Amino acid sequence: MENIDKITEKIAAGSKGEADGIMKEAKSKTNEITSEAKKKAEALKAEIVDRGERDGERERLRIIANAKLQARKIKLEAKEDVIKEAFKMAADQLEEIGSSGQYSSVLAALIKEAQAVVGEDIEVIARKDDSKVLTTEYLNKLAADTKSRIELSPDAIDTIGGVIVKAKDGKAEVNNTIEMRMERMRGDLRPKVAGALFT
Amino acid sequence: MVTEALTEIKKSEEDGKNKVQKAREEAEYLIEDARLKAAELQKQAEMDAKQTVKGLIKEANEKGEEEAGKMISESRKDGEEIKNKAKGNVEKAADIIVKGVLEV
Repeated sequence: MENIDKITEKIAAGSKGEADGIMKEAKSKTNEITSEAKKKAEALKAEIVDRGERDGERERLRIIANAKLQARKIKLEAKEDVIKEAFKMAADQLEEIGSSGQYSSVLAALIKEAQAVVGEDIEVIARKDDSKVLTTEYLNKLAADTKSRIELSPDAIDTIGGVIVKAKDGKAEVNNTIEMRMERMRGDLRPKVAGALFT
Repeated sequence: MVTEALTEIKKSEEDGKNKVQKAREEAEYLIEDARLKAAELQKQAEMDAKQTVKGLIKEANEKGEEEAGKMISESRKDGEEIKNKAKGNVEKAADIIVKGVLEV
């Protein structure tokens, strides 16, 4: 009977050993899983936060870049406003040229300049009021100067001053009205105007 | 007597098997539980990180907007200054235009 007790005790001890081993291994495995999970979680968190920081910085820079463009636009608009004001003032002054004493010589110069492009025999179209300046005598004198033929068209144009010059054969035409000249010269004049305004 | 002894041994073996089986089941449960907790940990970390990122983006936005506001306000002042300084030169600039248009 004593021997049987020894056998059963041995069996029980063997089973306990095996069970303890299983539990020990399980605990070690769970520790490994937990430790690995903590590491992965920390890494994942760091990666997401890092990406978020970069996204945030990119967003901040995007807002600033937009603001820089807007700031530049505001300054350019301020300059543009003054340039427009200068052109408006010039337009007002040019509008008065048509009734000034120098208008007769201005018209002569404008006709001659257009004639150089259009040809010798020309027809001049002007404001209705300008027929007082562009008399036959005036045109004949101008024609004599340029050894050409100049006629005043019966048609009239609506302008603040200046003329449209057409070749008699109708092949060429130059619009030398004040408005058109200002429009044509705007691009060339802008840098000079900006120079005068902002330096 | 022998039969009794064998029964005793068999019972002991059965008890041992049960003990080992119970240990296996408990071990499986512990490992599965650890895996679930690990997954939960990942999920929580992701959620925490996303929350942190939300704050970071908000902060970056606010910082950017504040800097942008200052920049624009400064440029408005500059714009006004440009206009004020240039006002005195408008007449001169208009003269340049008039001369340019009438110059043949």
